[in-house]
Amino acid sequence: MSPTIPTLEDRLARYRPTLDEAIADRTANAGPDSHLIELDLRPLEAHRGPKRSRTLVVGSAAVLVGGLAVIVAIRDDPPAGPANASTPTDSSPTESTSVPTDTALAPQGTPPDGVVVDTAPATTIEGSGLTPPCPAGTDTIGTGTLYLGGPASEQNLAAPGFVFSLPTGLTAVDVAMRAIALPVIGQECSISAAPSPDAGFVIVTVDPPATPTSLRFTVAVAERDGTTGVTSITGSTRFETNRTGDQTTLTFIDGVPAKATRIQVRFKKGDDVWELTADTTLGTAITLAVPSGETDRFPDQPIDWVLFTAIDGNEHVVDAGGEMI
Amino acid sequence: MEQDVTGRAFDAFVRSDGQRLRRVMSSQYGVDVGCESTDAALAWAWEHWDRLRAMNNPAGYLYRVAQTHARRAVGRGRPVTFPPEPVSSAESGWSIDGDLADALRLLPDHQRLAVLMVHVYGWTPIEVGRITGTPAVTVRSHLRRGLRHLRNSLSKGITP
Repeated sequence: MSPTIPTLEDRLARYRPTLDEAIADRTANAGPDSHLIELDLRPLEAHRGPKRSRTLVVGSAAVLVGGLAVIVAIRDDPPAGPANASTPTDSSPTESTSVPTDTALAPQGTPPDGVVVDTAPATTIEGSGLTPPCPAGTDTIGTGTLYLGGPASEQNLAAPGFVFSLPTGLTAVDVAMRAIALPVIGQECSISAAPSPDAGFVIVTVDPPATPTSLRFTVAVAERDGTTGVTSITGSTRFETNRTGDQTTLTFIDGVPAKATRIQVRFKKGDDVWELTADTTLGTAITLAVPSGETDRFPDQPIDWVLFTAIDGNEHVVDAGGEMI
Repeated sequence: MEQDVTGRAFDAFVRSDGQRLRRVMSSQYGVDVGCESTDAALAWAWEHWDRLRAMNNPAGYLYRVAQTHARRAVGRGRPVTFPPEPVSSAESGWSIDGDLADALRLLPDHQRLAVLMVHVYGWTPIEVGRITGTPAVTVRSHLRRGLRHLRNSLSKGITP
């Protein structure tokens, strides 16, 4: 007796559990082997003004003595890419946020310009996600771009309790995706995020992440130059930036994490983003300067922001942070 | 108390309509983009829950929100991804034509949506049309064309 040749309809019907399993794998439910990524968003009071008040400035000069540990430097030419492009040129305030669904569907009672702002200082957002290993051969940890400030991403999904604004501010979901995705998993992995039914939480799913570790970031949000967005991201490494004359430095107040074997630093100057890799054994302060031999296309412009990732010997990100300067 | 009720209602919505939407979006745009866009739409739903819950067809409305996200993602070059067909089918004793996942990727998204929702998930064209805002007759047309294209692709053993 011959077996029956499966019809196309049979094949499709048998495909259901496979498709459902793939969908389930892409949802944001933690499994038994998951690792926690926590995101703690603490919006600051909205304020205007050219400069933010800065803390932890005292004593920074003394810590700078051990710095200047630049080993590798490359420059990213900023392309005119989409909002999720790998360079931060999309932080240009001239770029359209293009959020037709949000603006078109703005709820009744919102201001005419569609802006909904919740800057309650007590608002806290946390998230969790899966971090199984990244596929073999994926070597993108620590690359990519996480920028601070700038316009909303294309999927501006501000929600009650999730602060920020429509359509000009980063949301918890935006921040979760950017804060987790780029320093932690690099560009080759994807990430999704969504608020959970519990107010104040956002669920982050990283697929497939590279770093089987637990990270927690505090993300400060404030208004700057008329845009509400992220102004700093802080993990477990305390740091400060200091601008003296033409020189800007990044200082790790308590040193770098013990597990870190190198620190990867990115900073934006004019329209260029520069990347430096610092050897942690040489000191705890890093001068943010265009490397010798490279052309500073924007010599008159200050550094806009700096971000760093601390990376261990297995090329896993063990911490990250940064702020607008 | 009110917040608990709201949370439970939203939770129930995510479990029912959210799951339906996830299947719809994954069928139309592939698993990766489909799930991401569903997550984005559910985030939007959470924000606008009071308004959404009062709608006659909240899942249909949310489908449009998710579709906006998905189209952007696909427009940026995000691939349409489907898992490989289970090995058991291929080991049924016959040589099965073509790779089903690859053939699905080649279908226009509306045809793929109709084929998968009807023949994988057992929806009627009316049900598909209700969530996508498409007349049932149009869904049936997508379904016929989709199956024809799928058969052609599989018989040729194409690979993208």
